[in-house]
Amino acid sequence: MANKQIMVISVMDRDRPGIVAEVTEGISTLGGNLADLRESVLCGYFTMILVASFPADVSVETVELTLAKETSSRVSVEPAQGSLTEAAGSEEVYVLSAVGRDRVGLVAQVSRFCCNRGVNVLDLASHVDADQYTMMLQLDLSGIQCLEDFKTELSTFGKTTGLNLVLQHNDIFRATNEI
Amino acid sequence: MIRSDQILKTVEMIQKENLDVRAVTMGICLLDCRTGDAESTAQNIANKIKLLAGNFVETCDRIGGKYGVPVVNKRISVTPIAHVGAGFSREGFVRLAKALDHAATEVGIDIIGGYSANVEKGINQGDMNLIRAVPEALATTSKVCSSINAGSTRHGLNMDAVAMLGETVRAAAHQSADSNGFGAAKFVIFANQPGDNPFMAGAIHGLGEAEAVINVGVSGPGVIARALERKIEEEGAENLGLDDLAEEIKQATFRVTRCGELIGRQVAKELGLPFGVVDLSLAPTPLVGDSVGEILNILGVDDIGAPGSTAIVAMLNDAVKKGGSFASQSVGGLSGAFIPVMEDSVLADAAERGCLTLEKLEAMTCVCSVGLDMVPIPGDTDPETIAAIIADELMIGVINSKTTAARLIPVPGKAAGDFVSFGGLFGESVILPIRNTGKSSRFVKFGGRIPAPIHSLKN
Repeated sequence: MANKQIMVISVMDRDRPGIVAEVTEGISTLGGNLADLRESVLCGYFTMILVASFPADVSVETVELTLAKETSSRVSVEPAQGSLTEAAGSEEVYVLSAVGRDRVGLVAQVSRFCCNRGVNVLDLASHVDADQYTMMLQLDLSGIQCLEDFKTELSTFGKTTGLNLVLQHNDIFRATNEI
Repeated sequence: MIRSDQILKTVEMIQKENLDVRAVTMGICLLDCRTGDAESTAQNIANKIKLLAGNFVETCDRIGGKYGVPVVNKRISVTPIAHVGAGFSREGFVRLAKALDHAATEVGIDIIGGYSANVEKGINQGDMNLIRAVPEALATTSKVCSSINAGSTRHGLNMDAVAMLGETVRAAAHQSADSNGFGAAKFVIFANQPGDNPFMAGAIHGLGEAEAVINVGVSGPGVIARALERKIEEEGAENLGLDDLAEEIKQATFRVTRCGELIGRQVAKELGLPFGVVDLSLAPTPLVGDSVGEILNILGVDDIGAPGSTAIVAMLNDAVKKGGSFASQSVGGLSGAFIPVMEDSVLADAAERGCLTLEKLEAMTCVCSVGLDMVPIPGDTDPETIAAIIADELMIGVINSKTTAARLIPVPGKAAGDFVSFGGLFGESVILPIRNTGKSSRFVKFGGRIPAPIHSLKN
């Protein structure tokens, strides 16, 4: 990888046909190779984050200029800092589901609770159904010393915030849903 | 990441629908414990169990806690003791039962199975002494379970053994009269007994098994019942056929099985033992919402025992096998639906109302995974009648190439319609009447063997 450089590129725009094609065509004309990519559409808005490796003589500015010509969507390009890391090994990944009446600050409260205990949120999805708000957080608990203590704190937190919180190991969901 | 609705479905299954792992059972080979006398053999048995299972309970609890799926029962099955104690006297075999009981208490497990013999074709001296020891062994221990295999599709039914076992069932109940004959609740007689079944009272560590192994019994009648209710509510009963409901059972069983196998394999990994099998059985408990009878209600019979009950059990049993077999890498044991009367509150209620009779139960056992299970009968039932009921049940298995079993409890001092309760997982029920008592003794007294069935001309 010595003669390659890794860049992280993010795109945000109102959803329309062609965004992925425009951005990835621009990357390929510069000899960029995609390492990983995720895209999502939420309430009509498109967002994408991708990691690509470019030849050593391609600069961040060149990538920005090329993509600005290829697409009208807002693009941000960052050189990757340090080596790329994968999400935590599956041993310490848990899924926290949180269900409660919709109100301001729910995600903030839950994520602050996690942050204060050194817990990283690997993935987060939520949806509202009537006035019920449901959050699914994939958490890396490798920084937790005692799982029982964390569960006890979580239970107290659930009572004070009126949230129904359930913490289960990620493997359970894989076992019951993957073939 | 897995979709939110899938996550919520799994969370619901664990939190609200009584999903648990019913039993993690460690199978242990005891053949190398044998010495020249019962006392030192007993000591070796205790030492080996403590060595292999010393941290078994703690491991199960820890893994169950980690995954949020409780392991309800931690059990041990051992090499059929008739092999371990061959040559010992009846008293020697009683001594071995006490050693098993003591070791089970020491390592903190719930029950230990394998006080057993295989007499499908004939009874050797070791088998004989073990069977003679069974009533005292079960009356004087609390955790030991006993099972005898008296027939098989390959060898037919050993009626000499069945006649003797009719006496043994009655003696086991009467020697534990102060606990309503509870000894007989820990004693089961099989045809085609599997060597890797994790469920009691019939768990053994068969002779074809490894030195030690971890087997898992999943449960989940509550999960199946709720899945069916949800399906019917969402789509309307008028829009659903029984094939749709069978498909729903398969899918729910798939999830239940996957959970059980995950827990079992983790326990095996931590203990450094091979993983054996998942037993897919739907094992009810007396708790409300954890009943196989309730599933029959949902599938359309207003009372258990009504016409249609046998057909529904057949469909349920088959769907469970299909869903579970696809989910698991290795399936074994009994794997189907249990219908233990005392352990299932809906079945026990149907028995109390007179809807569920012994005859209809017997018909249902032709298509369920085990047999006449936890059936309390009048305490004065004669041994020949008990033996004849056992013979009827076992021949269903022998002829149909399936496992069947009888766990009958002649409750001392009680008659049909009286009530008996053992508490806990063993449950409660009224005592079922036996029609035509005392009319089978000439049949039983013939003895000998009912020959093995023909393996062609299957009609």
